[in-house]
Amino acid sequence: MVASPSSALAPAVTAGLQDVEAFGEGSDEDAAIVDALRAGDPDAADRLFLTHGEHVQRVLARVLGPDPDLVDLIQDVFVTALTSFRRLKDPRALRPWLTTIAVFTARARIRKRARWSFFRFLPHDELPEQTAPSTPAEVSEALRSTYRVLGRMPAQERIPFALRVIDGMELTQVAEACGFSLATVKRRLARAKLRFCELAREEPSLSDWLDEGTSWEP
Amino acid sequence: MNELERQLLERQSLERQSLERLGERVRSEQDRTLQQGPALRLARCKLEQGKLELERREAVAAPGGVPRRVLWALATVPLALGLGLALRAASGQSEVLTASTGDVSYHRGDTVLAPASASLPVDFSDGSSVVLAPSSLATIADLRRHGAELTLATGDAEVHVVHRRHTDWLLNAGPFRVRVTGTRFALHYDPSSDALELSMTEGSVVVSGCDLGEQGRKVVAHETLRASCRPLPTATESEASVPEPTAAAEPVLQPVVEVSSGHATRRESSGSRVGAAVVASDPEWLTLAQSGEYSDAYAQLGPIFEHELTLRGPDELTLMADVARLSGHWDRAEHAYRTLRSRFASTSRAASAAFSLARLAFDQRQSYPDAARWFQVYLDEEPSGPFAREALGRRVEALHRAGDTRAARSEAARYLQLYPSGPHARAVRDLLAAP
Repeated sequence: MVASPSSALAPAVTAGLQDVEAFGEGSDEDAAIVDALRAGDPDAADRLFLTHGEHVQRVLARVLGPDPDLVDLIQDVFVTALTSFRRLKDPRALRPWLTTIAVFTARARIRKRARWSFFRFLPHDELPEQTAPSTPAEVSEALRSTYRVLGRMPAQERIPFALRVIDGMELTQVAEACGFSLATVKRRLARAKLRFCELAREEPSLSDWLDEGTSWEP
Repeated sequence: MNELERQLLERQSLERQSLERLGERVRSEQDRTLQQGPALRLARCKLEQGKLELERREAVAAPGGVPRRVLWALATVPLALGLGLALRAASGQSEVLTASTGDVSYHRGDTVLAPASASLPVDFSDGSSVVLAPSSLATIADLRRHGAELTLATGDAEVHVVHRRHTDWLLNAGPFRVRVTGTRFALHYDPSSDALELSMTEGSVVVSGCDLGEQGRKVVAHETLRASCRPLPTATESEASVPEPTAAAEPVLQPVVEVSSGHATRRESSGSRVGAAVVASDPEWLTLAQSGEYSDAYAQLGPIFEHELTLRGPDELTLMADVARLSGHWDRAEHAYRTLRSRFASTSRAASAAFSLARLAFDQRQSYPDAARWFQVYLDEEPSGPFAREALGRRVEALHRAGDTRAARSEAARYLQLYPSGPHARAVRDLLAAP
């Protein structure tokens, strides 16, 4: 059985976007890009990618960590955007809208990984094909450990944690990106921090960051 | 507010600050890695192959999916999505393949060198691609109607060849030839040691050369081939209880051909000079470990632990040690770290293993003199490594607990000089201020 890493993601992501209302400070450039897309400008898709590609990549990486299918996931976000831009109510809020798509794409990816984990009880040759994650040698143990810990957390806590603590997003931006209320984000973030700190103590490269060496007395 | 409440608030504040610092560290490291990586460039190339994406969408089209009229609307979007290129690729070739990176076209005989700081994708008009890792060197040996021939002179290449009826690709790496009909794999070649490593992701290839013979050996998905025209070493481990950073075990040369898949291993004795190992890269314990299921992983790994120690590379040995450590099997964790240091001496993984041995000695065995020595081993081998600050801070602590106050204070002063705002700074200052 071959499982394409991003197959069937698009319906799950676009279904979630129907309820998303983009709002925010917005920019004139974003509005111009959306206008160009709506007008069928042949360069509009490229402008969209060049303007927001790095941001989308960053959001995906924050939530998922090192992922062998990052290229496909970036592509999924932009294909979803290019086929759904007519749903965007406020063209000036293109960037937060793309952030939402990226978060939804990452969430679908996390759920897919969780489903694959059911197959670990099958004989080896029945497992879906899956590339073993590979990260550049220079990625530190702290980064790997952080995402190992995040991988053990439920998606509804992991995602706000990654956006707030790692990316440094404001709480309102996290709420917007996740499609939660501000109160819900605060609640989930508090739980996520507690859980992360608890799990991180099992990781040697993280426990020092959290203990600050206060576990011993001179 | 009572004392308990005050302590709780202080603790929460410290945790918040710690998380902020950790988040900042992870963020900056991640941004650096993303900037140097090829993902964005590859994603843009893929978006430009618009028709391939449309075919994928049609394959998964379902209620709620993208309407066909939208799909065909995209299909008419002109050159910004490079559909002409993709359509020509999909309909079959009547002319020789072309190769390019962006606006730069390559011809037969051209040499391609990836820069030191970034990967370099080489895209072919049949939709195939070869991404050269930084500083890798390859030559476009031939461009044909149904394929191409590349020679990887040195370095790493991620190869994706699109399968069609007459696909015929050839990759050369030193004395080895890899015949490809449609697949995805990673290839590494080091001319100084004549070593080839090929890891299959999808499909299969046949590798010939040296004593693999003209017929060659087939390598399928989830397998990794390591081969060299020189015998491959297997190292014996050092059993010294005190860390000796320079006493590396002498390797024992043992030419052997091994083929293993899943849990079964078949060893073929060979009188040839060639060492080649084909190992399955996805045994069950590995999958469980990568999902964080350490106890379950150890249940699978335990019975084959010693055998896996001889087969696995440095990354997987580290994971084996983590599995043992996090499931409470400290002796085996120590054994795995020591084996890694012995088999892959003088590597950054070996240095990291020294750090982990230090933590084992400190946390599990409370053997503080050993912990202090292993932290020093790490600092000697990787003075600027990712754990250097933690290693020095912990060394101060280990020396203090071992009763070596003079050494602890000396190292404490060094720590403050190097890391005045590090995670151990406050405790270290308290140590120096104490009478």
